[in-house]
Amino acid sequence: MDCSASQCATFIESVFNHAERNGDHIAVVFQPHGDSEAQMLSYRELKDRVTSQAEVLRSRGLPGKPVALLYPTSIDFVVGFLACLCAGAIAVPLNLSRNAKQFERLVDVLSDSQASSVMTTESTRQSMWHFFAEAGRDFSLLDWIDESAPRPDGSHYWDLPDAKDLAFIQYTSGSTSQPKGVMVSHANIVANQEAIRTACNHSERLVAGGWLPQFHDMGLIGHMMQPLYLGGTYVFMPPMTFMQRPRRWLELISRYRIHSSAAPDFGYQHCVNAISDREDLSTLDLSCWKVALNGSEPVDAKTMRRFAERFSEYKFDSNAFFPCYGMAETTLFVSGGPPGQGVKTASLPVISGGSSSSNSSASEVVSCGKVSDQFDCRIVDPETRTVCAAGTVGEIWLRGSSVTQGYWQSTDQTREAFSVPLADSDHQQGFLRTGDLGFLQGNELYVTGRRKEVIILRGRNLYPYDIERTCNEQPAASGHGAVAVAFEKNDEPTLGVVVEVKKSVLASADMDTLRQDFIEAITSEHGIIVGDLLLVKPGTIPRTTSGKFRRLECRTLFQSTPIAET
Amino acid sequence: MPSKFSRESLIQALSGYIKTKVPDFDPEKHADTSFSRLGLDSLGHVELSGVLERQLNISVSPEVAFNYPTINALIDHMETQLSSNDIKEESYVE
Repeated sequence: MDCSASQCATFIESVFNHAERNGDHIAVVFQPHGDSEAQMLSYRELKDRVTSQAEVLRSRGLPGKPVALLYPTSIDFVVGFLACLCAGAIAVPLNLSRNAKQFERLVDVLSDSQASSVMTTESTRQSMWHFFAEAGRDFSLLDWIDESAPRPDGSHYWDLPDAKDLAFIQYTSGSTSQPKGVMVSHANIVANQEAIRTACNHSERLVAGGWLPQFHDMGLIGHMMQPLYLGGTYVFMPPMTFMQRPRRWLELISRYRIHSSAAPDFGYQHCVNAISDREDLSTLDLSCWKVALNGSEPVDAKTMRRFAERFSEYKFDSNAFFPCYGMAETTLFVSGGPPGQGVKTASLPVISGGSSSSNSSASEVVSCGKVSDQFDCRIVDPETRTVCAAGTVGEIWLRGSSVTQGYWQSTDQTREAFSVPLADSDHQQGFLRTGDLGFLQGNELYVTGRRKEVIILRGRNLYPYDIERTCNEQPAASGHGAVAVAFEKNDEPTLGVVVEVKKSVLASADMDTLRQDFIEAITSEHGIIVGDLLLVKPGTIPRTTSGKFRRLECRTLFQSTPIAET
Repeated sequence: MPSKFSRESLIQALSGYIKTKVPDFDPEKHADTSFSRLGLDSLGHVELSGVLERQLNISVSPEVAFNYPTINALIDHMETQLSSNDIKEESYVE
């Protein structure tokens, strides 16, 4: 096994190659709490732990089979994930649940993935036990593999998986009712690592990382795999530690001289909003931060301006901003850069393609950068499936070696999304339809919104239908009148919900309690703040003649003076 | 240096934060109303632990407000945790 980084056929080969050549170099650094001791692993230690875990997987006959990964943010996750890649098992990273609602989602994903083995730590296994018990599910049906799992004797040599094999399944934050698992092959990973490396102009021994969750594409492909692919160092901390006190992200960057770190727009916003002017940041030096990626939710020029103003005195360079675009279906990265460009905007051209609506009311759109050369990117009229005239808005269609293998266990959805031919070509290989709207200008991609109704808040896709169902299920609700929309409140995207409530309830109920009931239901099911809640009489929500809600009009209910609450 | 525990100043600090998210919050009326019932999301819960950290100058688990989800429960918990043994620099409250 000898290959230079860009020639290895699989990601795991590159990592092992670094272990051979630079075994003492630090591969991962984990900073659990604020000032506590960091945990580190060299490439040699990483390889030893990975191969030992991989042998456990092989001894249990798991190559080629889905294996769930249930870890808190940790080095154990890195080892477990790479062990799957090494043994040829199909890794399924899961979000560790903290409440019953998240547990329900976890069970849905587990059953969709068909994984019967779960890699975890002993303490996680114990904490999961009571969730299973409470939900009346049989914990023992799963094969739990933790630190105490018996290791097979001796060391065995085996072939690493083939590039075309599946490496992992990335579950996307799709509608709560049906989890969607994106199938990523070993070849997809390498293709996308190359796309990121080229676009960001990363070199060998890159230091990258931050607070993004490891079970999600941006944290996994961008933060964790990119530096390991390049023989560099992956530096990370738990997302919660960042949420608690966002200055810790900036401290991590400054302390470990991180070159590339990513966050959705919300992460930058959180720094501006929650780091008080009184905090002493005098030790902070952000001059090392050359690539500040901003992706996975609409990129807001205002946020970045405010961030740059606030942190330029700590040597943050506003040209380091690197708005980007990507998704699990393309492994991760699609467009971004060139590095050093900072924030570039264009005004929104005329929209073609009918049913579209932009998520923000602003007519200035931020460039999500140059489309990677790897992709064939077309802007397509979603109705006629023909390519739009240059510079107009349409649906973003893509093909190329980073486009993944489809949705797990779902051939229909895969066909509908992953191999769609253009109307005016009959023999070509089909495209991935992203469902996102945008336009191209000088090979840079500008993303303007989603084709289907979706609300994006803090990097999460929320489907109005899910929130509306929660409202309609409330005993006080009329049962068929609820609309959830996003609107701008004090310059921030906010969730507005209007619900038609039974007349009898409106007449008698205590409005404070009633409001709290709705807010509690929405917040606990969807984990999101309700910016504005209107409880109204049946028939108040504007509808079309065919009875469909006029969503755009509903949005104005929140922006203007609220309609009379009954 | 860790700061001295004061119920009043903690209530003030926590209320100050909650009011930025829930404008009609009233510390007296809502002392026993759960944070999620008030409309605080998971980020809001985690940020409350950050408020405690800054106020007390110690490390606090990010999950503490999920486990003690009202003003009274949260402050009582902090008080019990910290009164048993005097507040130390390396205190970490779960």
